Amino acid sequence: MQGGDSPSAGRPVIVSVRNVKRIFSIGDEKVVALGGVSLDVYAGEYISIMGPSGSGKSTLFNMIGGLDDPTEGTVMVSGVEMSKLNRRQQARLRCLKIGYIFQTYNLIPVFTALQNVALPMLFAGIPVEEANEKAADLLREVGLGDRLHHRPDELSGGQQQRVAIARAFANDPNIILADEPTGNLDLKTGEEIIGRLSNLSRKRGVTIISATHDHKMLAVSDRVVWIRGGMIERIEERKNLNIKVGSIG
Amino acid sequence: MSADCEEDSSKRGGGAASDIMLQLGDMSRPLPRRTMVGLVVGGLKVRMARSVVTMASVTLATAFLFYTGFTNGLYFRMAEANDPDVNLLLRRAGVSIQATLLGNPMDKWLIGMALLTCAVGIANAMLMSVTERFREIGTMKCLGAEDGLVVKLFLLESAFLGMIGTVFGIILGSLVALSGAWHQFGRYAAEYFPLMESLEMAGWSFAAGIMLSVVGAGYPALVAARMRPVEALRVEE
Repeated sequence: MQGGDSPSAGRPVIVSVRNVKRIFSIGDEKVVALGGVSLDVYAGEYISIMGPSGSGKSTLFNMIGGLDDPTEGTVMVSGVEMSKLNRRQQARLRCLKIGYIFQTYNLIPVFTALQNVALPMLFAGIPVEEANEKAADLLREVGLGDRLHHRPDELSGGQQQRVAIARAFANDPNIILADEPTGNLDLKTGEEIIGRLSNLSRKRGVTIISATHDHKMLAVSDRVVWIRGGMIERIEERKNLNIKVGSIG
Repeated sequence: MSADCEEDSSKRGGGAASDIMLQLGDMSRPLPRRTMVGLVVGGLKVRMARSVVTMASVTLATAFLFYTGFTNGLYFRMAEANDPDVNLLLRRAGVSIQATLLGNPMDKWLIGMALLTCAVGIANAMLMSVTERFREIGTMKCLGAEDGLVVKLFLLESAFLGMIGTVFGIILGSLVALSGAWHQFGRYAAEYFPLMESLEMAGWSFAAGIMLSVVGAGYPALVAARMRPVEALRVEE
């Protein structure tokens, strides 16, 4: 497979994408966003999907996260084919196994940081007190111990994204999907966010899949998948990346 | 479905599929009431201006509905009395006594119109307040909210708004109707006060206000909840 298994041999595959096509119909016109992509993501790795806008990067990302169904092909997450689950099971899978981080943070504006982080746990059926306790721990871990009861509009962009990171880890997911997590942040804050994300995920063995065009993300990625025109152009291992970054930067 | 999933996963040495299916089978408990109410009341407070406008449209619509019903009832009682003084007042107010007694088609038309205005106004306001928040719905779905929960939250919110709006509407409607009647007919308004009709109309207005709020918000909420999360997230705010 295109995934290549030299560095990750022996590690279980957590996401398996097979011959995925996604075709959008706009009126009579058919737009091919993904033209047959295969990819294996291994448990615990940090993988970045790179590509210019319109390359199919976001579409692939959404497929992996079970946010969208493929027109053809299969996406298996933790050995389960997403499109074969019913709606409740999909919601349940998203709740327990996948954490999401968005470019625009997407915190619930009426909730405090603590409540935002606790919400996915409440969806999972964890009692309120327990959820709040764990949410506070997670927020302390991202350095927001003194901002537990602040609402999103009282937090800076970087702080909001840190709340979002804590929220993504709330239900101890296997996978975290980060869609342009640094897209709305300045260079320094972006670096800090990437650092926190990769530290937390390494510590917990969580797989991170990130769609981005931020080259800062390359340094922490185990592998980088380059997408162009709806196809995987190439996949690079970290050890080959340094040279590449130099030539780009 | 699960059979080939498990087969596939065992090939990859995961064995995680059955594990997940087991966990997925353990259906979530409902969200604690405290959290639901927190989301709803908090949402209304944060979008105060929006909530007031939405509520105002419910209030005005039900006020109009109640006013129309009350006035009709009063005219009917007064016409029924067949008192020359009262008849004179009614004629002066431009009310056709015969038509009122026979059940004026014009009145029915008015009440129908009031109801229609109420329906369109409330449905529109609720529709707007939900479509504004597609992205929030998409986020909640990503965090694992089930479709039913999303719909429930919006129904709760709209029922709450609708209830407050309707109560204000009935108060406003009766204030306007009473002061109008007092001004036109003086003590006769009290003498022929259409108590039963008013109560009945208040009941109808209350039911209509809440039902229309719930239906008006319920439909777009259902549409949003059934969207794929990615579609809901894509909607511009």
